[in-house]
Amino acid sequence: MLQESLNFVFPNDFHIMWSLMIVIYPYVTGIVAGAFIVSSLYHVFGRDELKPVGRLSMVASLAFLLIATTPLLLHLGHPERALNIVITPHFTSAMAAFGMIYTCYLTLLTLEIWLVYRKDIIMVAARSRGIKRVIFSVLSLGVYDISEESLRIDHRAIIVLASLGIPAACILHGYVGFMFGSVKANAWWSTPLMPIIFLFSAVTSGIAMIIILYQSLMRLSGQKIIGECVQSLSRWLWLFTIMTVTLEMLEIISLAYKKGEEWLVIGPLLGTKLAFPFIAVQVVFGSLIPIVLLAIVVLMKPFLTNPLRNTIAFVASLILLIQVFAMRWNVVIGGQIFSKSMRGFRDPYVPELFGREGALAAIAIFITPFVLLAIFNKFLPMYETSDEPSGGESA
Amino acid sequence: MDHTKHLWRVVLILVLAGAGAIIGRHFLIPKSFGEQGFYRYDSLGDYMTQPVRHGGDAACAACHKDRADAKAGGKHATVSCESCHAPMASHATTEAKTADMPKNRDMTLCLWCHQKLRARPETMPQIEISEHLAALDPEDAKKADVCFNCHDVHNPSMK
Repeated sequence: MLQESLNFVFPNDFHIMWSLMIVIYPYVTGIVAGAFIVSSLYHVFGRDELKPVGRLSMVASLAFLLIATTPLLLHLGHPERALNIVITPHFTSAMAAFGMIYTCYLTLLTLEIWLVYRKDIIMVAARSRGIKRVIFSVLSLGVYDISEESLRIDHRAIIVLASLGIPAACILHGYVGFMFGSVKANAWWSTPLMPIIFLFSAVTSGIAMIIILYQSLMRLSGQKIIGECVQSLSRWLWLFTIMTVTLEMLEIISLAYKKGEEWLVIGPLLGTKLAFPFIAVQVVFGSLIPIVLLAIVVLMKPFLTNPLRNTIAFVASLILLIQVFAMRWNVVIGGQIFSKSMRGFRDPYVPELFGREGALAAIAIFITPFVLLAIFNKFLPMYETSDEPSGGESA
Repeated sequence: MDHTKHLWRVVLILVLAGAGAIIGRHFLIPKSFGEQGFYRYDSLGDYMTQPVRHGGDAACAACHKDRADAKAGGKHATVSCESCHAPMASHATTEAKTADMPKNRDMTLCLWCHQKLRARPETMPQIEISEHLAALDPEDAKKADVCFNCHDVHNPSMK
């Protein structure tokens, strides 16, 4: 009765409209972009020590990309309308632009993975029978040429696609930050730094996820974890973590130093409502501890055994995944728990457990890429087997 | 031997997918989209066919003049009757009453506008409910319709 007939009563700043799903969404797309950057370090920039994760990082990027839009669909409802913004794009709509970027990036990534795995696909098709043979024959597009010349051409195409993929991945995630940064009514979001902060923390979460996935995959498949690879990933992770945390802190310091009108609400916001998720989780636990742990890995390399280094890197990565999630939470939810009039705060937000936008749905979304990865790995291994080197991949 | 055959097949698939997208777009975009602006023009017709549910204050006043007069002289003069009651269609047609008008006497309805919220302008009457009811008998304060003890909702000065 009330909702359908209520007059407009100033102000209507009651509810947290962007829920847990809008926290999960930039978190997942960040991992997509970050994982792709790792694969590019190998494919484009020739970091050969990252070869063991060259395939894994690409496939992980795809697995997370495939579910990246699910949180949005769950948040908005009406999945039948999902394509509307794409078929009638408008230059004033950043969401419509996302549809285009997503499609381009998905196409590009799928093509790159296909080229990397083409030889494997053909070989699986050759040694299989029945429906599996049919599927892999279709995947090979009916061309069974794995001559050196064709693999060399594939290799060149992979480098071109990976090079195009870097700006595509950066735009894909930079745009998410852009969406928040362009909400000029919200002082906590409205800064041109937002896309840059999102991008750097995306790379951090991507590298951290690859370190965890790589070590887990190797353990589960009984393979040896290559120390040089973890060492290199840790070095990159340390660099990106330092840059991410610096940018995040610079934004706050800048706000605090300028003491503009928005600081009157953002200061108390950080000191009260966000004291735990921001100061405790994101800054102290999530940033300082991994920076110290990764510093140990990078600076004390000669004194560390392989298992010790791998464990430290694993723990630091796990904490950084929590840090990036906390950062997404603090941006998305933090930006909504103060009134847009900047006079005060709303009630805190606690996600429901079972609902469409609840905690269980978020967990299910987050688990799905790992299931996809396991299925993919069953048919096309994401690690190099020593007796079967890939022809199309070496840089 | 041509070693780029597989790449040409990929190009063919992409071209077919692109063509499919362009053709699909042609069928997916609603017919009247863009005729008068960036929206489906026929949607206006769709809305116009929906039955009217709200009647407005004047329609209420046609039968409930006493209430309308009380409201007109008080602080709730600009609050529509149907904001707190139900839409007109659930109570009456232009000819006759069809059902009793629901009355929501729960304090949460009042608090929707009058709960103290720092975001609201100071000129808006706002209360912290526990402080506001502190002087009342605790048993009375627990009742959902406690607001009615002291206020006439149509003219919400003290009774």
